[in-house]
Parts: sequence; structure tokens; C-alpha cells
Amino acid sequence: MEEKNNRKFRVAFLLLPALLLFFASISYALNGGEINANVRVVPSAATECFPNPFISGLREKALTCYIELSNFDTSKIKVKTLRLSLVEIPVTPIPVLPNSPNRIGDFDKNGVKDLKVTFDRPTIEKWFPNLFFVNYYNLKLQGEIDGVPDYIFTTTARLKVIKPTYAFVYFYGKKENVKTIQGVDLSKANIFSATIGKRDMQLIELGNSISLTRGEDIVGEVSGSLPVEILRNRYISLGFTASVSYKEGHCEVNPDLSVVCEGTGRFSKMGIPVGRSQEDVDVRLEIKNERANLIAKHEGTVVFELTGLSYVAKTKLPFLS
Amino acid sequence: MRKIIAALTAVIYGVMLTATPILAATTTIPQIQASVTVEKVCDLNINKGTLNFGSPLPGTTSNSDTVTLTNNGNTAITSLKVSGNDWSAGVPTMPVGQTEYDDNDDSVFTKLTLGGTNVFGGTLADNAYDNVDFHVVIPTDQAAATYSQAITFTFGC
Repeated sequence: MEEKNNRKFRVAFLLLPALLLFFASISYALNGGEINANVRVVPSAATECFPNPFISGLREKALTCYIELSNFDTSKIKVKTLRLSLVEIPVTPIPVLPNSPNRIGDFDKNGVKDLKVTFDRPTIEKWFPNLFFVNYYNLKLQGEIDGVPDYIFTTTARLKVIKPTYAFVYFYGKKENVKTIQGVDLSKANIFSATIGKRDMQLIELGNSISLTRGEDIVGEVSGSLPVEILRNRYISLGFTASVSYKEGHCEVNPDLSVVCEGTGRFSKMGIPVGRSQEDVDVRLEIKNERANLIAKHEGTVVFELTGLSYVAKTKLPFLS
Repeated sequence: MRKIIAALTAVIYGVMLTATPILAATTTIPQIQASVTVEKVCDLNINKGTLNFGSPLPGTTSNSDTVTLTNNGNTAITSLKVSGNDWSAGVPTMPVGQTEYDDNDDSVFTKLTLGGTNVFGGTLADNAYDNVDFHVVIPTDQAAATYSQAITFTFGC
């Protein structure tokens, strides 16, 4: 019995200082001194998708996207987890195509590795049922990264989507300065904004015709990204040009006779001196694909006649529908 | 052991018995002067031991995390500084100055330094407390990783 009590005393003797040390250490940890900070910097993703502009109606099978991680190993992206959707419109996210290349390389030559993947284009076409002519959308790409648990990266890519329906007229100037042309009340026309070069332009839908209206002078490089891109078009006195549809080469004809083409076109000469009542303009249209290879070429002369405030094309381009 | 306790008890009682007649015989209680000096206690309390800034992207600023400092002593703190070391995730690092703090609730943030900078103007009154908001500005080219940093408060009275 005495031995048992002695043991209790010894235990109490040892336990007391231990408890005192324990409480003292808690007190020390809470008061003043050092605190630890943690932050997890997550991978930053960027993506570009092609073709851009995305021209509705083409029979291509895939939309190709290049994804890069600027601060992490791009090859760690889990391809099977990738999902493509839209920011502006709720759609069902789609995975990469079964035959997606899933290749790693520096495709844009910026020193950062890219992952090349493809998505089902016909499905994406259905995402823009109500699109009239042209609009911008943001593709949203999400996925997981090996080695970065509990994190889904999100990146967006701006995509210009074109759904051609008519021939269009570009003009430069204010809408109220433009009068009725060929019976079309421009005050009721659909007007789109575009940036061509460094200057804003407006597009007026006039139906399937070529009509040109007087505008302000435009000097310099002009480029657009409508069904036909107009490049290096220098205006001498009047600022206008027409975007046309064509039906050869890498193009398709729509039921409304408008034509959709992938590539770029070029008017090599376009300009009408002020004051003339009539002007013949030689027009040459070159159609190129994404790799800048010439796939179609058209030449012709269009006679423009001054009618009131407007020049009106009296002859149609030979390649117009 | 019992014997020791018994002996101690006997000694205590012995003293008490001896003292009792002396006290009983005293008729007047002389006054004595007592004095005590309460030592100055300089103590700062930090309400948490860890700051967590979440998972920000490069080129962004993390969420804020707030620390409450309380003067836990019995006198004003007249020197109060905060300092830190560089963020580290092993090989990739991030400068200490990417951590910023706001000790004035005015959304004006000061960069954390290795040498330390004042908090609340370097003072904190007795029993007072105040908040310090921290956040991290992630450089645009910062490698993805989990970083840690020690933030130290030094104080004096």
C-alpha cells in the first residue's frame, strides 16, 4: 500500500511540471511573435481557338484550340477533363474530339508550350442559332491539371462568329448623313460597328445588292473580317467599299444565295474622285486560305454612278451571286 | 512518506501552539507599512497563428486575411513593427514585398519588408486592439506553387 502511494506521489510530481510546461507553451504561441502565411499560386491558362473568325455554315469538322499554361507545365493538363462551352450563352460543355491531336508544342512561337486539341465543330455551330450576321462570343475552356489538386482552371478565347446572309455595304460617316439608297431607308437599316484600321466604321445591311454611299475620306490600310476581308484598300477621295459574297474556291452557297468563304479577299483598286458622275472601277478579288495560299481569283469592272448623294453600282461583279 | 507527512504536521502544530500564547498576550496591534510594486508587463496578443491567402492567379491580388493585435499587457506598447521573409516554395520564391498590409482600414496598403515597418504608427495603447489586413500581390510570371512566409511582429514598451 505504501509503495502504491509512493508511486502516485511520483506520478503527481512528474505530471505537474509537464502540465505547467504545456500551458506555458500554449500561452507563448498565442502571444506576439511570428505567424505563418500561406498562398497557393495556381496555374494561369490562356487559349486561342481557330478558325477565327468562325464562319457559320462551313463543313469543317473541328474547332482547334491551343491552350498554354504560362507558369506551369502545359503537358500536365488532363486532356480528358477539358470542357468547352460559352460564356454568353448557357450550353452543354463538350469534351475534346476522340481524334483530338493532343499535341504539345510551341505553336504560337512565344516560348510557352501549347496543348493542341480539337472540338466538334457541328456542335459548336448549334450554339449560335439566333445570330444575325456577326457577333463576338467568348469560348470558355475548363480543365484539371495533374499535380494541382482541387483546382479547375478556366480560360476564355474571344471568337468572332459570322453568319453571312447578305451582301453588305461599308460606309464611313454618320448615319444621319446618309440618305435613302435604292429605296432602302437607311434610318431603319441594321447597323453594325466595326473597327477597320484605327478608325471605327459602320456597316449597313442593304440586302443582296451593292450600293455605295458618299462618306468621309479614308486614307490608309483598311482591313475587315467579314465574309470577305478587304485588305490594303486605299481610298482616293471617297470612303466606301463593299463587301461581296462569292461562290468559288473554299466557299459554300447558302439558300438565300449568299456565299460563305473561308479566307481573305482583296480589292486591289477602289476609289472614285469627287465630282464625277460615273466611274469605272477595276476590281480584283483574291481569296486566300488561312495559310495565305491563293485559292480563287476574280477580276472585273464595276460602273458606279452618282445618284444624288450616293454612288450606285450599275454593274454587278461577275462573281456575285 | 507517511512518516514525513506526520513529521511535517507535528512541526506545523508545534509552531501554532507556540505562537498562540504570544498572540493572546498581545494587547495592541502595531501598524506596519506594506508596499508592493506591480511590474510593467509588455505583452501583445495575435489572434491567429496562420494567414491563408487562398489560390490566386498570377497577376491578381489574393483575398485579404485579417489579424487582430491586442495589447495584453498593462502598459502602452510604444514600438510595434511587422516584418517578413521572402515567400518560398522550395526553388521558386517570391519577394517579401508582394505581401502588403493595411493597418488603418483605409485600403492603403504598405509593402512588407525584411527589416520591418511600423504598425498603427508604432504604438498601441494599454488594453487597445486593432486589425491589420494582409494580402498578396501575385506577379504575372509567378510560378504555380504553394508558398509560405513567416510574418513577425516585434514590439516593446
